[in-house]
Amino acid sequence: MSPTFQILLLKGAFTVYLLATVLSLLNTRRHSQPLQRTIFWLFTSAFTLHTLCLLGRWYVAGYLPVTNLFSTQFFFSWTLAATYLYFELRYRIQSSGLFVILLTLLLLASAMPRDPAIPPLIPALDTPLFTLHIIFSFAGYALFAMAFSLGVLYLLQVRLKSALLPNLSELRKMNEEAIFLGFALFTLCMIFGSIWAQVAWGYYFSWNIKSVWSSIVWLFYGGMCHAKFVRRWQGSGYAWLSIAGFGVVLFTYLGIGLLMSSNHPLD
Amino acid sequence: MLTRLWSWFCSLKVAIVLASLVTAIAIAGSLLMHFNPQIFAGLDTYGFGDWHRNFGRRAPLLASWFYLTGALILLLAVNTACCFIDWLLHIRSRWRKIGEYLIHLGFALVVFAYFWGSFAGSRAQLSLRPGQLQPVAFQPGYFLRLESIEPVIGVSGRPVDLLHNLSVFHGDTLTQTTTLHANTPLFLGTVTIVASGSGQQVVGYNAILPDLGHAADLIPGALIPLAGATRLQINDIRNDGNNPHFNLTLVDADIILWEGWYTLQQALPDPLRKAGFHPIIRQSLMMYTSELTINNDPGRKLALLGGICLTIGVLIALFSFYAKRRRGDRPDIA
Repeated sequence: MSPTFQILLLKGAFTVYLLATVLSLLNTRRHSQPLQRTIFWLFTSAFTLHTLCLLGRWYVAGYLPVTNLFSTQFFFSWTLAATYLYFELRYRIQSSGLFVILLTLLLLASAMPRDPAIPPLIPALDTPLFTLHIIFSFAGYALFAMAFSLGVLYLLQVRLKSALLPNLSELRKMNEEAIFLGFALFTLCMIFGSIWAQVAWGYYFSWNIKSVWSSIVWLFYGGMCHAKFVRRWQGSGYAWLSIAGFGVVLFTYLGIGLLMSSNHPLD
Repeated sequence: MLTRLWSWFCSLKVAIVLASLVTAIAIAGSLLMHFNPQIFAGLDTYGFGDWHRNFGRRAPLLASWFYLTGALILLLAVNTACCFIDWLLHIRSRWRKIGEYLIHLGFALVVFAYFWGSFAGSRAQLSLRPGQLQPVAFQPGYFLRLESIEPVIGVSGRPVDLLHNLSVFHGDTLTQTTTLHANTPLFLGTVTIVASGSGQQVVGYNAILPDLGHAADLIPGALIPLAGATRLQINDIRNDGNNPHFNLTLVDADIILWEGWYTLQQALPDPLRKAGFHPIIRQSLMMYTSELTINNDPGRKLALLGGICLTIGVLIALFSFYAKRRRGDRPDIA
């Protein structure tokens, strides 16, 4: 797949995502079913283009190209879109996933001006453990982003009691699912990362800021998986925790990668 | 009393409080760690005991978060292990939660293994020249010999990796040959050996011998012809700053004329002077060395077991999550 074709697919995906987002925004007022179906098919088409572009880049590179800021944004946006589609297909969340769609669009928009060239793989990253670590890491992040979105909507719904949004019970159920799935996938990310550290450095945990914050993310969401059984933390408390947790995720991914020197640089 | 203590150790609320405390303290502490590398960088190089003696004790205020986090994590692991044991005691009624409790067990095992490895384990560096045989730290009876180092050249034409070809001996017996490079360590009992890079070592000197009108490489094992039938054997070279020490044997046929240590800063022993050995050092002779990190972690296999429990637990929990959702088995909504 030529670089020109990759860019064409990327721009195509972005345009169709943008169209789906604009229509989603319009539909928050109208709540029209035919329009919602159109949005779903537009989003699915954009995701197909996005997936084709990802697979093409993977095939050309010979490895999952997630080694610089462009490619992590590109891959993170793909996992976000996949997460939205999962919830849409399972729960018909419609406009409730608007934040995730917007985040997908934002990540793609900020990735597009960057150089999409695939750098040669350095031997330190030439291991299937890297691929597994990356896939589960971003899948976990995407589900935590979805939990954030659902948490915000839950708090809005407590105040607005709007017919346009899913009811509180549904929002809570979806939020718990996003947290649990995110925690499960992030656990796998941590396990594969630890095995990789053992074979690369000789020890499975390093005292650097990225590893410590990844452990914080894991502990935080592990605590959340327990908090849903405590009455005080159900409902609004859980929604607030979902919002706070995503703050921790954002700092772990972007804050450390961009603002601090670590063994997980983004550029 | 014991029942109450056991209930407390198995308490869900205690787990949440401990996890929250660890999270809050680690968030603040990690920033202290990042901005004070002179204290905390040693955590990856030393075991906890050595780190405490060399760094932690010197900055107790800065290091306090680390000790507190460690204690709380350990308590959380104990709490998690107790929850797992409690679940085992009630497995007949709670078997559907096997995935979740395997995650508990896995977490506890990993934490215990980490503390075990950090207190009982240690780390060392090993520098090997090609052909050199050295004992492996923490593994008595095992030796490593570096056969060669080969660079791996990337598409840019620059070396991107190094292949460290090693032979492993147990006593006099060659047990295996292996190549260490990126993501390819050597596991030897409780020890993990990884290639951390390459270095350069002075292995000898190139010197002019003006009395004889030629130059010679003074390296261990070299036999240099001198005046008449005399020959000088270089047995060993040691470096003391800029003052190399040579262990030499001067022979004539099979007769040893002189043997001993000679440094460039001392007066030349008579037998060497008479044989025409009056060296003027031109340059050092360097050789690439293999820099290896040896990490002794007795808890490594326990941690692996914990990782396996975590992985199986996650997979079962994912499967059972959907099964429970189908049955409507969820906590009550307040």
